Formats: sequence, C-alpha cells, structure tokens
Amino acid sequence: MKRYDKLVLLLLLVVFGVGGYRSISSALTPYVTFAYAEESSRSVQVKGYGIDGTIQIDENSFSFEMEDMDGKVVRVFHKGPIPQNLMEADNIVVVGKYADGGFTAQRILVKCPSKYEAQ
Amino acid sequence: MIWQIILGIWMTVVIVASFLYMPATQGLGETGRIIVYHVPAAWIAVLAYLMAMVNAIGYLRKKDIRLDRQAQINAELGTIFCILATVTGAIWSKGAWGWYWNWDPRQTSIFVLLLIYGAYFVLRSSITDSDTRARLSAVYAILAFITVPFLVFVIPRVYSSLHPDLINIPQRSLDMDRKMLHVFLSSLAGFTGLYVWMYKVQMRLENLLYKQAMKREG
Repeated sequence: MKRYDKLVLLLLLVVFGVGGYRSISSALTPYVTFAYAEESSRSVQVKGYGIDGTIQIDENSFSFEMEDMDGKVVRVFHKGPIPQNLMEADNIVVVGKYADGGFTAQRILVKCPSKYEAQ
Repeated sequence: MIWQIILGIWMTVVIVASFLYMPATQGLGETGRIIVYHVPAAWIAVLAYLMAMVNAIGYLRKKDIRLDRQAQINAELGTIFCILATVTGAIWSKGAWGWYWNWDPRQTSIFVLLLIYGAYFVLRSSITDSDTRARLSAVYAILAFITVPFLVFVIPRVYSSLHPDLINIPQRSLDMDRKMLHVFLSSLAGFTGLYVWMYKVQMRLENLLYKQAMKREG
C-alpha cells in the first residue's frame, strides 16, 4: 500500500510539474520578435537594439530603426523625448503594437551596459 | 545587548558608506547604489526559506512543535525580505530601464515565489489543530523550497531577461570595483546579522505566546 501511495504521489508531482512548467513557460517569455508582433493584435514587448544613425526627429515624436532578436529590422515610432543612451544600450525593449510596417511604441525600456566599476 | 549595538552601528555605517564611500556605477550612475540593499535582501530571502525547509524536515522527524514555530518564523522573514527584494528591484528597474514593472522573467519568477509562500500562510491559517497544521505546513514548506532554486537561479538565466548576473559564471568571479565590494560585502554581513536578530526576537515572542496559551488551557 505504501509503495502504491508513493507511486501516486510521484505521478501527481510529474503531472503538476509538467503542467506548471508549460503554463509558466509562456509567462516567462515576455519578449517577442517583430514577426510575432505582426501577428498579434495585443500590445507586446519586442527586444533588440537600436541601429546607429537611424534616428529621425519630428516635432514631438521620433523614430528609429531597431533590430530584433531574429535580426529583423523595423522602424519604431515613439511620442516623447528620446531616452538617454538609446543607441549605446545593450538591449532595448519597445512596448506597443505593430501596424502598417512600423512599430508604435508606448514605452521604451533601455538596458545600459552596466559594470560595477566607478564612473 | 552588545551585539545589537554593534549591528546598529554596522548597518548605519553601511548605509552612510553606500552613499558617500561607494562610487557611482558605470552606466547605472547613482541608481547602482541600490545594489547594496537589493541583493542582500534577496540573499536573506533565500537563506530564510532554506532554513524554513530545514526546520520543516526537522519537525517531520522529531515532531517537536518548537520546530514548527521556527519554520513559520523563517517563512515570514523570508517573505519580508523577498518583498523588499521585489520593491527595491522595481525601483531599480524604474531607474535603470525606465519602467517599474514589465514582467521581465526575473520579475515574474519572484512574483510566483511570493505567491507560493503566500499560500503557505493561507494553509497555516486554515488549519486549527496545531499538530495537523504543523505536519501539513512542514510538507508544504519542503515542496515550496524545491521551487526556489529554479525561480531564483535557473529561470532568469535560461529565459531572456534584462536582469544582469552579478556573478560571472564562466569566469567564476565577481566583477566589482573594490570600494563597491567593501560596502556590498559589509551589507551582506549586516543583513545576515539583522536576519539572525529578527529571528531571535520573533522566536522569543512566539515562545512567550505559546507559554501563555498553555497556561490558559491548563
């Protein structure tokens, strides 16, 4: 009987483990590519980096070209000031929607190269 | 008493040094100083959760109700420090990336960790019989800790995250300015001392409450 109990427990653990992993896995990949963003009608986060020398400034908005994790380049539009170190960043994340060949970003997250060295 | 005084002075020096002695960080600037609080808080959370599991295993072996109280206190302290790590992380995220919360894998995993330990307290408060409560929550505390290494160490490295790794695993080194390292390590030691002290105070309180309850009953 005890052996049987252990077997059931093990089986339950495996089932819950696999189920838990599968459901948590999608929650743990918030960063997608432009290809995925094109398909999606929801607001998504695309990770990549800005391409130097592509910034175009309009009155109170700007746009720049960004390369995603798959190497696809798309122009990103954003209302507001240009974030500091946009081009020097290791990674940037643009949050918004893809429409008509461009990506409209509500927010831009900039991850600077950080080294725990004195300035 | 002498230890509390030393701890008080130690933590005061760490706080002052984090602003005055420690230099601003390359790239992160002034926001980099929060590392002195963020990382030690996360470290204590892991340590306290580990101790909660050790107490829980001890309880299942010896059935000593004191061990159940120890596990509870450790889970509580772990959760307090886990919340502190989450909050300091969100503040740092705002400073470094420009947004408080964007469900980065690191943020999602610590949120899940808080939910898992939140359920531990729900479980405890839902059982009135103290022996049943102790036994069931001990099993839960062990299962809960199994997720900690995954949520804290594995997931943020496997999934694409903005969160940096402090420890450079391939090089087996901690790349840090010497002055920063002094303050950082002193803070780790200070936080550990603070945890031990908080644990002792809580334990004393819980033991007194237990004695009082025993007296009332018999």
